[in-house]
Amino acid sequence: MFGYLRPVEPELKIKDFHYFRAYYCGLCRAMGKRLGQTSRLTLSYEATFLALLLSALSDDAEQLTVGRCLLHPGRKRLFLKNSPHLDYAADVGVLLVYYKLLDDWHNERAIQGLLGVGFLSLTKNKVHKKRKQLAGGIAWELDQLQTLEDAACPSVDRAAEPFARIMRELFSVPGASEELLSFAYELGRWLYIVDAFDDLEADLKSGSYNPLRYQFAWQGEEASIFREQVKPPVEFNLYYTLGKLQDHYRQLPIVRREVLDNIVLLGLNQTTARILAGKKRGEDN
Amino acid sequence: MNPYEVLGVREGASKEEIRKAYLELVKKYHPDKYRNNPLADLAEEKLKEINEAYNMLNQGGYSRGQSSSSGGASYQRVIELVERGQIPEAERLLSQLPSGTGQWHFCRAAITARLGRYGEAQQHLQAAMRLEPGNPTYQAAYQQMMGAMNQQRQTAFSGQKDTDDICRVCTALYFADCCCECMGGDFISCC
Repeated sequence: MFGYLRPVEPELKIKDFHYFRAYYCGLCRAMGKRLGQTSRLTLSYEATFLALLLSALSDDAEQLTVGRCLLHPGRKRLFLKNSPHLDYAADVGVLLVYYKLLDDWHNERAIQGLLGVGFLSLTKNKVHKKRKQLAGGIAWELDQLQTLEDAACPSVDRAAEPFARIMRELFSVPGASEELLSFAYELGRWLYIVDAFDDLEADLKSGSYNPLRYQFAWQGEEASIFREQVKPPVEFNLYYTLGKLQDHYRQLPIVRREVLDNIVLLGLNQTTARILAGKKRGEDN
Repeated sequence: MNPYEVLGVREGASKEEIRKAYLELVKKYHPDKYRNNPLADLAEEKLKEINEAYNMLNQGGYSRGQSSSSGGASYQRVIELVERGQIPEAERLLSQLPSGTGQWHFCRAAITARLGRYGEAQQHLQAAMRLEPGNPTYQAAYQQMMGAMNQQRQTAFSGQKDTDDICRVCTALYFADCCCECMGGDFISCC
C-alpha cells in the first residue's frame, strides 16, 4: 500500500517542491524527536500526505525553519516544525508500517516482515500508549480483513472495506467533515484495489491471497494472461472510485492546495494509468 | 390521484402513448435541469408524482384499488428503500425475492453502488443487461456509470487537470441516484 500516493514532481513548481519536502523532512524529524530514531525508517509518502491535508484544512500557522539533514548534510533544507499534524502523522506512519509488516509475515511468511515487526515493536508500543483508540481500531479492521482473506473473499470491493475504514479512521480528527471522511474512505478503496492489481501476478505465483483471483475465478492460466482478463473491470473500478474521491476532494475547504492538487488530481490519475499498464515507477507512460 | 391526469393523456390511452408522455415529462422535470434552482423541490415532487402515476398505469392496466403484489412491485420497493438509504431493509426484502433475474441483478447493482462497491455494481448491471438485453433502464444506468468512468480515464491520459466543473457535475451523479431516477416505470413495464 505504500508509494502510490505521491506528488508528480516534474509538475511541481520549485517552491511547491520545497514546500512538500519541508513536510516530508519535517515529518522525519518529528518522528525521531517523538518516537526515537528507529521510527524514522517508517517515513512514508502516505503519512506525509496525511499531515499535508490535515494541516491544509486547519488554520494553524506553519513554522518553517532551515536546517541540515543528517543523511543529506550537503545542503540546507526547509523543515516544518512544531506541528500537531506532523506529530499525528508520525504516530500513524509507524502504525501503518508496523501492521503492514505484520501482515506480510502472516500472509507470506516474509522474513523481512518478522524482522521488521521485532525491530519496530518498541516504537509501536510507544505509539500504542498515546493512541490507544486508533491503534485498537486499526487492529480490529485488520482482523476483519484477515477473516475475509481466510474465507477467500471473492470480491475486491468487500476485501477493500476494512482498509477503506482504516483510512476513514485516520482522518477522523476532531472537526473532520463528512466530506473529508468520504474522501478518505474512497482513497482507502483506491489504494487497496491498486495494490491488489499491482501484486496480482506475484500473488498468483506465490499463492498469497488476492481478491481478484477469486472474483474472476482464476483457473491456473498464465498470470500475465489472467491479468489482462481482469484488467477492464479493475480499470472501471479504479477510475470510478477515483472520480468519487476527487469529487469529495474538490469540496474540501483547503487553504494551501498546490501540492495537494498535484497529488490528488494529477498523481492518482497517473499512478492508476501506470499500474494498469503494468509499469514500474519511472517507466513512464 | 388520477394517473391519466398527471401524465396528461386521455383515459384508455395505449401503452405507447402513456410511455411517450411519461418520458417527455421526466425530461421536463429532471433534477439535472433544476440544479441550483429554487424550484428544485417542486420539480422533484412533480417527478415523484409522475413516476407514481406511470407505475399505477403499468401495474395491470390500472383498475382502481388493485394493488399489484407482483414481483415487480416488490423489486421496486427495494429500489425505493435504497433511495432512502435503508440498505439493510432493502437487502432483507431482496433476499426474499427470486434471485438471478434481470431485476434482481439491477437491485443488487443499486445496493452495491450505494455501499460504495462499484466493481460489484458494474458486474450486476452487466448481468441484468445480459438477461434483458433490450431494457432501456439498465442501459441508461450502465451508460451513465461508464460515462463517469471514461471521463476520469481520459483525464488520466491527457494528464490535464480537470477544471471544467460544469461538465463534471453532469457525470458526477451518483450511480445509485441514477438507478432510482431512471427507474420510474420502465422497471415495471418490462416484467
